[in-house]
Amino acid sequence: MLRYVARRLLLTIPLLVGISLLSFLAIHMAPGGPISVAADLNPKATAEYRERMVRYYGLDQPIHVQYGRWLGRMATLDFGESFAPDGRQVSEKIRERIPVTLTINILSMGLIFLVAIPLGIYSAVRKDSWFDRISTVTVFTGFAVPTFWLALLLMILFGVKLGWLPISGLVSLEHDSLPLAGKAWDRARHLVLPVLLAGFGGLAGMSRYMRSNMLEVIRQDYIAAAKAKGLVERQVVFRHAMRNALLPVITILGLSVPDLLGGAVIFETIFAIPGMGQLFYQGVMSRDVPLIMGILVIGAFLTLIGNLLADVGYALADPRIRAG
Amino acid sequence: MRRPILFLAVLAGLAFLAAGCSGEKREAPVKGDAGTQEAPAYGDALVEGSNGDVSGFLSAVTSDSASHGAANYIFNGLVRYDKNLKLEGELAESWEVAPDGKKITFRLRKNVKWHDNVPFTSDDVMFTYRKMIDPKTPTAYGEAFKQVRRVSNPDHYTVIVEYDRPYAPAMESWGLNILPKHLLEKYPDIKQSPLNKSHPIGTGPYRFIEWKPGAKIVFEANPDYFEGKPYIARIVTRVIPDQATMFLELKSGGIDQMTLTPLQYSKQTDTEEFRKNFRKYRYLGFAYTYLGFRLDHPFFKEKRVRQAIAHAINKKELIDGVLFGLGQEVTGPYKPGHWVYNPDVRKYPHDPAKAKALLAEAGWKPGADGTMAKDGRKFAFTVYTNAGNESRSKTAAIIQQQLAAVGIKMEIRTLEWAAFINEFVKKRKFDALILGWATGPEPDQFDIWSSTKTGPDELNHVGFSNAEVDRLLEDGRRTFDMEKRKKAYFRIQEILAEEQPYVFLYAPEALPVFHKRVRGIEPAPAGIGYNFIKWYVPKAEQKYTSYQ
Repeated sequence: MLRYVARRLLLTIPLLVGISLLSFLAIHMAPGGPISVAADLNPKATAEYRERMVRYYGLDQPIHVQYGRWLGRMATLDFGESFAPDGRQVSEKIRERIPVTLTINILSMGLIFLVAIPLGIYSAVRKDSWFDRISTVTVFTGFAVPTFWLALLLMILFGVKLGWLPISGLVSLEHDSLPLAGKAWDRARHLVLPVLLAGFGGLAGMSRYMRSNMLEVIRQDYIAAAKAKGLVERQVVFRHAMRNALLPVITILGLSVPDLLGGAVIFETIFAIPGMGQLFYQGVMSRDVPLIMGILVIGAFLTLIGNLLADVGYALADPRIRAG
Repeated sequence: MRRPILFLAVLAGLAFLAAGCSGEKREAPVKGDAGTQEAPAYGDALVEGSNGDVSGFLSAVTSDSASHGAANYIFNGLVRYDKNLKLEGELAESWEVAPDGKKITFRLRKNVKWHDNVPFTSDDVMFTYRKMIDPKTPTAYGEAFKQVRRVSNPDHYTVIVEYDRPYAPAMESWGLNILPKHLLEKYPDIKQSPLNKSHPIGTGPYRFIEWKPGAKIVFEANPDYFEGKPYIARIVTRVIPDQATMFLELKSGGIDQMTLTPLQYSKQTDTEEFRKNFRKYRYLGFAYTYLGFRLDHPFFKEKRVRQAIAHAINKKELIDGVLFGLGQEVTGPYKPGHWVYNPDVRKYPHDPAKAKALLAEAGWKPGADGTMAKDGRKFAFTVYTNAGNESRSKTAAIIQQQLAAVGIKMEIRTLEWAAFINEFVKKRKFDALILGWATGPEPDQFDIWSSTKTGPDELNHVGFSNAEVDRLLEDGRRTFDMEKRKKAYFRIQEILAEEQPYVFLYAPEALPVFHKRVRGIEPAPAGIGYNFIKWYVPKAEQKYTSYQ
């Protein structure tokens, strides 16, 4: 097992290099460049300025030299400096956004699992019941409704009309002067709407997945056997069926690892949350190559690690796979 | 909210923010009632909403309006525009231009201190100038300073600038933010200094407290400001990218100030409750939208065709449809009320019959399907504009209908900004385009209309070429004499109106809204930001009372 993990980890290196090379090429094929933001249609930006800036960012070098330099820095885990006017370190920019995105994603993912798994199981056990139908319609509504629209409606209701919850941002202006408990309460209030909305949209996938797994398992012979030997329904469902139906969820969990750091642009924009999604979006719009590459590499790395975790987790949980 | 920004900013892409920062009202009285007269008091905080985050604090290396706005709280220039858009001294107490126009002598204020208490002197001005022309400084604003032959500072409070020839736009360039030599001299590249990245220190009315990237920037009143401590103790700029969210934040009390969209201004704020809490203002901003023709296009090289299109377009309908009436028709690059605005140029009232007559003169006759045709070719073309700017795409759609009425078929292509600029505008691969310019108080328009400025990265992208305009543009920038300049720019407007290289469409109004407790806002030709250090909240109405 350890050898397997080590080999897989080693394999991620060429994969990462390949992914980064493709991303690098893709960025350079896009029209415009980091200088466009300041120079396009700007009467003050002379030809001399453009040339100087191209040299400033090292964009005058052939693309393989640029990539080589970037890769050399990456080898020492140096993400480089952002092309934005503030010229801050990419790693610093990412670091200050990770806690925000991570908090919201963990909470909303927790919410999804907490609600979707029981929902899926119950819908499967009571297939085609009223509960099944209503929950299906509800979760698909959540899936289909545009987040920004629902978000605005909830903001109007809870923020403007009732005044119960703050509308946007992560903390209120007087946050720093609050006592510790007050700070926690303040943060919690700001998280309610974003987490609820992010969770609502994700319910459909998870609960449907759980439902179909469960339906699959219930049909198996060993469930029939368990029922036949006279076990009560509770025991059949939770002891025998659910544990088997949960197995594939491990894969989903593993594949969700990169999502933990991936922010949603529209969602963060609506709630004015300074998360990874906005950072990435701004990076792309301003062709901030070091920033885009930094986020992509982190994303790719987490995806590969997530896959590995899913495979290992699955093997640990399911003896049939280990044996194979 | 902000003082007029001195750079000729660009109306780029998505944001229409610039209009909120530099503005002028039209001649008609500004709507929005004046604040009642209560005694000015110190204290309270003003929370303003901003679509964009700052991207750095040194305005020499940034180019977005959020960053320039923040820099204007913290830094000063030698000169600035006053409420009537005349240049006045800021860090300079006074200045004189030598009779030959080649030498400017600035006398500096003597009581000015940097926020770290070090006195401000002419060395700082010298340092700033040297940084602006230093090839290691990544600034887009160096060109005006490269025209300078020599700068000297005979003493701590005098700076003498010499030019090879008179250059009128130079006066405005000395409004740039003056940088502290003692803090920046150890950084070869000022962009890499903490003053740009995290801790700006200036001479301005507000001192920097903190920047939470993507969330907020906080400033506090500078008690030692040379024009007196500002009344409002704190300014918090909250970054709220979404316009709808920002509006809800305003209504729920999360922010005190924002710039409204025309839709919000005319339809969503007309309630009793809104009027009870907020005060809206409107004034003409320094920006206009135009329909530009590629002038070597076979259809558009003919002047009568361009004039016909001008007659076919109903500008009033555009303003009503796109801006809900919150804008004004324009006839040239200068807005009504500007000191070089020429009201007596050829106008093109909406007149489809006249448009058809002009097209007929140019040889275009209606074909079987009603579309104009000439030599077997139909009058069909494509107009390009950038995605993400709703007012431009609406403008295109309305013009499409109006041109159809005179038998011209116009297709619309909306493109992502970078692709639009790089693949179509720079390569001149367009028939016509809808774009906008954000101009400023300085009337020099050399870069947009000179026949020498038609290269791929240059701004005369329609390819306008007129010997008289070339000469007049040169005349206008080579004298400081306002009357002579006015004469040159008046004539330029006449020629542009006759030639119609653009159909100049409309200038949108800036639509700021403030919480009612903020007093002292007095709209003027320069907009509202020019006197913001005199804004105040009466003691009894202060909301954030912990700030004094």
